[in-house]
Amino acid sequence: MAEQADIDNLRVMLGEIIPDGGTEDDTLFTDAQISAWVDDSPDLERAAYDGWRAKAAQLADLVNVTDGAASREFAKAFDNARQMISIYQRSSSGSTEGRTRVGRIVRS
Amino acid sequence: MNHAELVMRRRNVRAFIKADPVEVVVTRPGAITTTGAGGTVRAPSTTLASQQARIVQIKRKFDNGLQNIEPGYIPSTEYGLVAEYTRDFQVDDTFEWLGTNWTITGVHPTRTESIFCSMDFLGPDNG
Repeated sequence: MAEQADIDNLRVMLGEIIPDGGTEDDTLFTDAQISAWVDDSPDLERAAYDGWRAKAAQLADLVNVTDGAASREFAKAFDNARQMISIYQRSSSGSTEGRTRVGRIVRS
Repeated sequence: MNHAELVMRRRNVRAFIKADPVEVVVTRPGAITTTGAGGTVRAPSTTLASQQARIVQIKRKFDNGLQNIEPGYIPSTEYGLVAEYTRDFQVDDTFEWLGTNWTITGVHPTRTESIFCSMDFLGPDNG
């Protein structure tokens, strides 16, 4: 099991902080899952890259919902997760290890 | 419900409440019991610790027939109380808000992401 401080830091990097009065069930990942990424990665940034990929996988199933008085655009959460994957992918700890990548320019 | 969706819904509720929170101190009436003489007495009421919630207006939309954009189960009142799913609110609880007394008249029974209550105006304390 990884150090609790590393688990807490990775939770911050993943946006999966346990809320006040809450438990790990109030987040997408258990401490055991977070610890596994910390243990299997050379540093926290690489662990965050792996964590965001897993988070994106969970968010990919969510859709926009409108019920009664409320609407929730959950699909946006997946797009945000993909952007976070890109951020950590480009770092020296990411999957590309900071090397030059070739990509397509897309007009918004 | 998908666990990821439930977590996201609860986070939305938490952020919604923190945008305009109120601290609610609830007084819960005691249980009514029968006495040996055949009458009833009410146990002393209890005061719960302060809980954070948000008070919102309950909106209704009128068409040819009456349409309620909030599905049934709770009385239609002017204000509603939204709290995190871990909080404790029951029908007949009373609390003070804006200097006057209010009571919980209904608690939505099927929500898992939050607690949503209807609340009715009781008025200021007598005398």
